[in-house]
Amino acid sequence: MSFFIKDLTTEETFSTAQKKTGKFVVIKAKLDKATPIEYDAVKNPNLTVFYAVDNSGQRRKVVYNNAKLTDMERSESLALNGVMRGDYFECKTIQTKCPSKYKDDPKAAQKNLPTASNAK
Amino acid sequence: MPGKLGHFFLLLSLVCSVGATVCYFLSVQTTRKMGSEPWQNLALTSTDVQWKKLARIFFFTEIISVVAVFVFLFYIISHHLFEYKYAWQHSSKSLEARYLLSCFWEGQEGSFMLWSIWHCVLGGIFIWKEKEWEAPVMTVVAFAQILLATMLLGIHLGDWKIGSNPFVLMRNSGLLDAAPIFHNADGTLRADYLESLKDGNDLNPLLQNYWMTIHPPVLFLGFASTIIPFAFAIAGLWQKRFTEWTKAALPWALFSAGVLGLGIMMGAAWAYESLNFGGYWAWDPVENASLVPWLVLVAGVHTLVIFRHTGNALRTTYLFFILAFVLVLYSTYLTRSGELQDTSVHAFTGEGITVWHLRVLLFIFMLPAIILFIVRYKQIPFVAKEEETSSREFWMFVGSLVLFLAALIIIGMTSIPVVNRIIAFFSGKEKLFQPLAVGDNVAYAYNRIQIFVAIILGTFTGFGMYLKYKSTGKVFLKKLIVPTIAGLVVAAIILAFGNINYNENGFGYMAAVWVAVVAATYSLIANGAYIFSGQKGKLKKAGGTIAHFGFATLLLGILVSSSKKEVLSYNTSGIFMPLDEKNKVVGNLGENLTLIKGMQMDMGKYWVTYDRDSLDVSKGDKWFYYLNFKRKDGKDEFQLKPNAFVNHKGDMGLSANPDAKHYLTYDIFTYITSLPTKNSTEDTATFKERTAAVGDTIFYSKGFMTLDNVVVNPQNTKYNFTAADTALMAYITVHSKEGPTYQSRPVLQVKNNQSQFFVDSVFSQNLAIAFTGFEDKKIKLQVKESNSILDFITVKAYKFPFINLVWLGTIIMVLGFFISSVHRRERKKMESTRPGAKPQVVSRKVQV
Repeated sequence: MSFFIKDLTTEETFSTAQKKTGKFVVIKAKLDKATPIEYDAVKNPNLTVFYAVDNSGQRRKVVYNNAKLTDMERSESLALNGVMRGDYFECKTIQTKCPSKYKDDPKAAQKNLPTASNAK
Repeated sequence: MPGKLGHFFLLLSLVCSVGATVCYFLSVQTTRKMGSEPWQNLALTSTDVQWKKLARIFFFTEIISVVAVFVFLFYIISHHLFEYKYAWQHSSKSLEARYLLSCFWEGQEGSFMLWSIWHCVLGGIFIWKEKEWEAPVMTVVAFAQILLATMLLGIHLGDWKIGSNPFVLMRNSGLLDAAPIFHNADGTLRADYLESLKDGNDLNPLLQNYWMTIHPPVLFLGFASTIIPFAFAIAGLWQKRFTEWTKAALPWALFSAGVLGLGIMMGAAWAYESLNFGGYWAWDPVENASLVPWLVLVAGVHTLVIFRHTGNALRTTYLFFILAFVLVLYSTYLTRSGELQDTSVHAFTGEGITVWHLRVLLFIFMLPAIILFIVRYKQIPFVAKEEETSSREFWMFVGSLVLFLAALIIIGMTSIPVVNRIIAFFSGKEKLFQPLAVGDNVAYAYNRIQIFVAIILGTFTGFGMYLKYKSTGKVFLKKLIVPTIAGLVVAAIILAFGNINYNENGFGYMAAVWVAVVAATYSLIANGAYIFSGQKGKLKKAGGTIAHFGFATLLLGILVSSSKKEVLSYNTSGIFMPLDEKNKVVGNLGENLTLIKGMQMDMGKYWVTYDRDSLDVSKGDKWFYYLNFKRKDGKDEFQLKPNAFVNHKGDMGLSANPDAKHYLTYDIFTYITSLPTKNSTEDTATFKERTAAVGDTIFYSKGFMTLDNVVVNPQNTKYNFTAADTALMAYITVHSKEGPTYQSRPVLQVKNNQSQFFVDSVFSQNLAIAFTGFEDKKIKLQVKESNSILDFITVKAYKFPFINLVWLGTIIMVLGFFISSVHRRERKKMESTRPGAKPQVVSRKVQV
């Protein structure tokens, strides 16, 4: 059983993760859309830096050593899987929750309705 | 109009399924009251037969109504009637005809309908072929049809919304309420509101793949068919005919296992071809949810075979068949309720069909089935004698238990979000328990447990067939020696020369992979040999062995292709090394590589050039990117065309589809991870003025350029100036530091005393050059070096060796299931028509 438990981790916030620096955790957060996502594929296609706000309202820098996820800007929330490293969170994988993936979601469908500007 | 008719048939199908359920139920109940062995009663006028007749009428009407619903919904989609929400939401005019069917199963409603259609087909065949078990089994099937029909009902009872009607109109869907352009100033809906709904929302681009046309129907046939073994088990418990159903159920269970397995692997093929998992399996919850019922069903098939041959394991068979179907319902709940949104890449939100409705579906089957099983458990016959360890059934049974445990572990890990919800529900506050999550490396968390399952199953399937039921003599054991030695030798060769050095998760795991490779190879060879030594090459009878042979091939394919997967796009170019602020290399080399248009990049054994891109005109926003791969030894050259939808239907960002070059022993696989966002970054670089005479050299940061010539009114493919124009073109050769040279042709045109210039760009050098005027005998050039004009794509590329073993193994395994299913059915017919066959299996021929 411990063999199985070993692979489990806990959901944290940035501040509780801070106390567990170096331990792998999951943090549910939202992308801080006010700050642009830094990703320059020409300089380094494997580095994405952005800011995220967790459920307790804390904002931290997040470093993701991979290409920027294509649907990140329109994500509603992010599950950040990784390790707290001092003042930033290093992400190994990110799950995005995007409205577009869920076409049954009426809110998302509404967005796709024509508006006065493009309905011609 | 088609919507109203469609909804009428929806309601009719609900009524019919209720009717069929009640009549079949009464048919079974009246049979039971008529005596101890009433199913041998051949009287045609008895009440139970009359109930059954009525039930059949209901069920045939049900089939007709479900087909009608399907036809009407398809009519709406294929005729682009965007007045209907379903058509608007899931299709568009530009959608190719072959994907129109896929629109069906993109939505919740359509996929439930697909399920319902398969129940009808299976039910129809069942009524035709299995008269003896018709009444109790069809009671269960018709009952399931009631529940599926309520999913599509779309009726409001107070605050409760029951089901979601696929025929709902846009104006009734509530979607338009908040959109002002559809309304008049006084808030009423405009009469011409449909004018604004000229095109639909389109099918999700990821689903615009031919696998999406065929994979869901096959998978749903697999899901739907699990109800038959379940219903047989229920029938056995219900009528207290505990053993008789097993013979009739086996072909159905084998068929179900074959189709479900095929459906799952078709999904894997789709994921491989169109999702960017970087593979065919990612232990995604949606995949797990379909794999788990299959594992349990396969375990059930094995225990059923044990029972047919030895009389053991009947209780376990009941449990497995009941659980296989319950797990299908649980999976439906998991994937459609929205519980898995945070952990899965493709789960539904649960909008449309309510979570409670799905829970009802699960519990209404699970609770009565489990209770019935527990109450009747003691009456199920069993054999007290322990199996001998040299018997086939002993190892089959242990193998089945391993399959079952593997399934439990997978579903347990997948259900973590649900467990969190339940804990939160009972404790009242979420913070009492730290919510759990699957950690660090999701795939590894699963793999390191399942690798042992692979080892055990590989070994068991290897020698299992050589054993005999009840007890195996030494003579038979001797037959095992040759294939065992052969298997070990071949496995040793694979390990010695195959270079399987999967070191990412430590030596222990690598050793486990090696052992698993040995087990799979052994099973492959042993089963292959058994077809000839044990079954003398009679393929018709060798279904089981063929399925095991296929399974071993699949297992070996999985092990080799995933442990020898090579990343080609490692970022080793030097310029793009992952550096932190202090220019220290951080972490592993990334798997993304940026390709600049026209520039040859180093990718493992290949040189890769991003040659050009083209727009798929019919789709409007689907771009193909042509990558030329050239092997460094010059022996091979090919082109891959990964594609991406850019800003599809107003969605920001891209949705990329991979492309792969298939060889017999490996695939080269690539997909786009990032594209430059045009005009989004401010271009801070400015043009700098240079002057040059013909023959002069101008330096820039990455090399130099020479002005070769200036031509008046040039004629070429791009410009077509006539004598009336005054145009000049500069011929410039750009020599880059890396070696390649490029041509640049900026143009200056004078028209109506106004000069106009056309900038020319050399993308791979970040250069933009403009020809702006004259100064003395020199020409004035403006040169800009910037990032924003650069045309590039970022890709990941992998080499998957022996991926074909995975597909080949799947096909062989599924064939094995089908051969076995047909063979068992034929054998059943032969036995039941043979005079003096076992009395309890005499089938009752009822003429209706």
